[in-house]
Amino acid sequence: MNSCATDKTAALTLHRVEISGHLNLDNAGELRERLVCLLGDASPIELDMTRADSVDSSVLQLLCALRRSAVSRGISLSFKLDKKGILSNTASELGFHRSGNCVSADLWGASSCNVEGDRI
Amino acid sequence: MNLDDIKKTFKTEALELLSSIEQVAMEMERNPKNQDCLGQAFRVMHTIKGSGAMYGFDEVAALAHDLEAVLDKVRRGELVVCAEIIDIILEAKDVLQKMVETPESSFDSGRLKSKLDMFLDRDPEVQDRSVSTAANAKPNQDNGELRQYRIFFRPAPDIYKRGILPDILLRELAELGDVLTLAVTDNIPEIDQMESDTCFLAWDILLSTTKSVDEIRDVFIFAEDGAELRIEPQIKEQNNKQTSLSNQSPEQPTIHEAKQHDASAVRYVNNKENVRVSSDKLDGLIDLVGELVTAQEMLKQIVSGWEEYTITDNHEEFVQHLRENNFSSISSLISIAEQFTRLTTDIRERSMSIRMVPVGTVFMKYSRLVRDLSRQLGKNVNLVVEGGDTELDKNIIEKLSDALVHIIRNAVDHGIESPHDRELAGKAGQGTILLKAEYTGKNVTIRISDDGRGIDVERLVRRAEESGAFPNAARLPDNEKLNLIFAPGLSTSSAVTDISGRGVGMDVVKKSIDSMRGTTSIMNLPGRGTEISLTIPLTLAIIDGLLVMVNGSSYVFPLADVEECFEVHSSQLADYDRNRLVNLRGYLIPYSRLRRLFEQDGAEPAIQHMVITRIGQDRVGFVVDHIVGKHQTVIKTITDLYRRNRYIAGGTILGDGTVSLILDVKELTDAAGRMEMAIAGK
Repeated sequence: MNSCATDKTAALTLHRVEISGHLNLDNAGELRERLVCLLGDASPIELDMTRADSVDSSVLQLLCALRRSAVSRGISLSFKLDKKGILSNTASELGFHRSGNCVSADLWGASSCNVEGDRI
Repeated sequence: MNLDDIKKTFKTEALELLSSIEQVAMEMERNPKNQDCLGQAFRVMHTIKGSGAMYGFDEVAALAHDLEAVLDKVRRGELVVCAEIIDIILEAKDVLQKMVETPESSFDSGRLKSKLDMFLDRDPEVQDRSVSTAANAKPNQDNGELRQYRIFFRPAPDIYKRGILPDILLRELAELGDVLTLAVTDNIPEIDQMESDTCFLAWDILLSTTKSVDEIRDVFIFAEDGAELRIEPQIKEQNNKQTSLSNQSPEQPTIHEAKQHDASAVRYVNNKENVRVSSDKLDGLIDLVGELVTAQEMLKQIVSGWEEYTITDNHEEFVQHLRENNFSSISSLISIAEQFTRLTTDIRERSMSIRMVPVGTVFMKYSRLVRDLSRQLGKNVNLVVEGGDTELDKNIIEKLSDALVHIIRNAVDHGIESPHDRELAGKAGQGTILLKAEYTGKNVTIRISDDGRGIDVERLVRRAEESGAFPNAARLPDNEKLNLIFAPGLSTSSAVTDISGRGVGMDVVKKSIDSMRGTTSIMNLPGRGTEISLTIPLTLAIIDGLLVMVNGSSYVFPLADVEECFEVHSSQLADYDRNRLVNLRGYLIPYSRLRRLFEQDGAEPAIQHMVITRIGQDRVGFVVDHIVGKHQTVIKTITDLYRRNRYIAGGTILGDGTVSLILDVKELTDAAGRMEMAIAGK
């Protein structure tokens, strides 16, 4: 899990990473290690969160931090979200949908951010 | 910190909170209008509910929730503080305590739950009594008016490490009304510079609710440590959904919710696992350790280069080396040795002080005992505590607890009369038990006095004679008659109750105090009350001892038990031996040879030493070969092999690595008496 190499599906093209299960404080450290590895080169990153079962604020702040790092390094970052809206509901509940300065734009899709008018 | 550690922390904190609620409940009973107490009780339950749910103590959380709801009703003025409310708080405290202490056990809290339901459902039977004065209660802040609050909450960065998720607080807040929540993410660093278990988030929230500021603040109660929390009532009282969070700066002046409550909460849990230590004590200890390290470095510097002389065993060269340095290193060594002596003493005292905790922490729980017993017996008894700040060794405090329970039970059951009897005796209807602790030299004396009827000594004597154990009790001197109360199996109570009267209590008390090298004494004023004094050494871990030698073996007398020592010649001893009494400035004192008590062979030296000891009023001398001197004695427990020898209280390791036995002077005195009587009989 901590190995950067295993996370790369196609070197220098696209890091497509699936993050599944319950994403919370217990595994936030492990997830952070994994995400830091993705920033090793300039390849775009796609986080597939379609199989994530839950998320908490510690992971949401981690995704914000990832977004911040990606922007500062000019790396493209996108999210694939679950259809049930588990993640977006939690993020909305915890006030992240209105946080126009980090992950919200990509996490909740362009439309919602445009409605808020605060996409970065 | 893993889950087990977090659960352990929860357990410690929950027990601490529960211990405080007992005092709070009783203060509420004394002063039902005390809103601070009510608020504190509510916050305690709220905290236990929140953290219990978080750490998987679901039953605890559910029960705390119910009690919190009852307290909330009191706070709203829907219920008023009455005996039933206090009873239910105390009963819930007991059940919660058991649940927290032994989570693996199953609990039948059904009876308690149904009582709580009665309050929550406003059962008429209960309401008749508890709502009777509700009209006089403080007007409820929650008058159904919808108000809007601006809340800014920045949790402490270590909130995740403490196992608290702000998510839960936000959800709880959402239950109070309509919320608009904005996560403030400005402080989040780049991912490679952040720690995943540090919280960089804050929240700016608009809440429309009928609840009061207090109720909103309660949501954050167990996340307030190190947090920034502002709750600002908005001017518009309408549910103004158009208000935009982004238009308002969280920095504008607002009500700052200071963490004033619980400031005086007791910081010590009478718990076998943890002791809370003031940071002053720890800082002092660390300073001393710093000095110790410096002294060690100085020592190293002085002796550096000495190895080559010691290895070659070349003393002349070594002396030459010292001479070249004007023997300065020798005087430095002496100075460092003095420094080490001072540091060791200071570190010893500081370390011991860490184990010292205020006796008030134990005394607190007796208010509950007195309340419950006096209600059960239809008496009116007030417990007054004095000197609760007096500190004692943690281990002694734990051992002391049972003894005090026995004495207080006796005082309430036998000492204090019923209100009717008290009035007939011309006393106030309410009896008083005074529990007082004070320093007496290197000891702490705890006095438990009551203003009851006192001990009926004649009845005690009759009981002693009837029991067959003391057929001549009536002939004993008056002060010894009273001491019969400490004899096994005696009681002056005419009826055996489940509270006391079995005559085991005071016997247990004496044994327990004796085992701590303490003394027990009693003062009786017939018709006016009784006072029992327990004198206990401040600590059990290190004592000042007197090191003596007998036939090549070393023994330590606890210095606190030693009155004086002097030389005795064998001719003098032969003279004393005729009456087995030593004449000390006109006082005749019985004595015994330690050599004989420990069955040591070998010839006695021509000049020996007499160590005069005192336990309570008894002075006894012990003859030893010679006295080595005062010795700082670190008490080590001894194996079961030696436990059968009652004369030995423990062992200690001397400077040369040999083991010395610490004498139990009380047992030795008794044994010497028996031995001398046996010899005299022959």
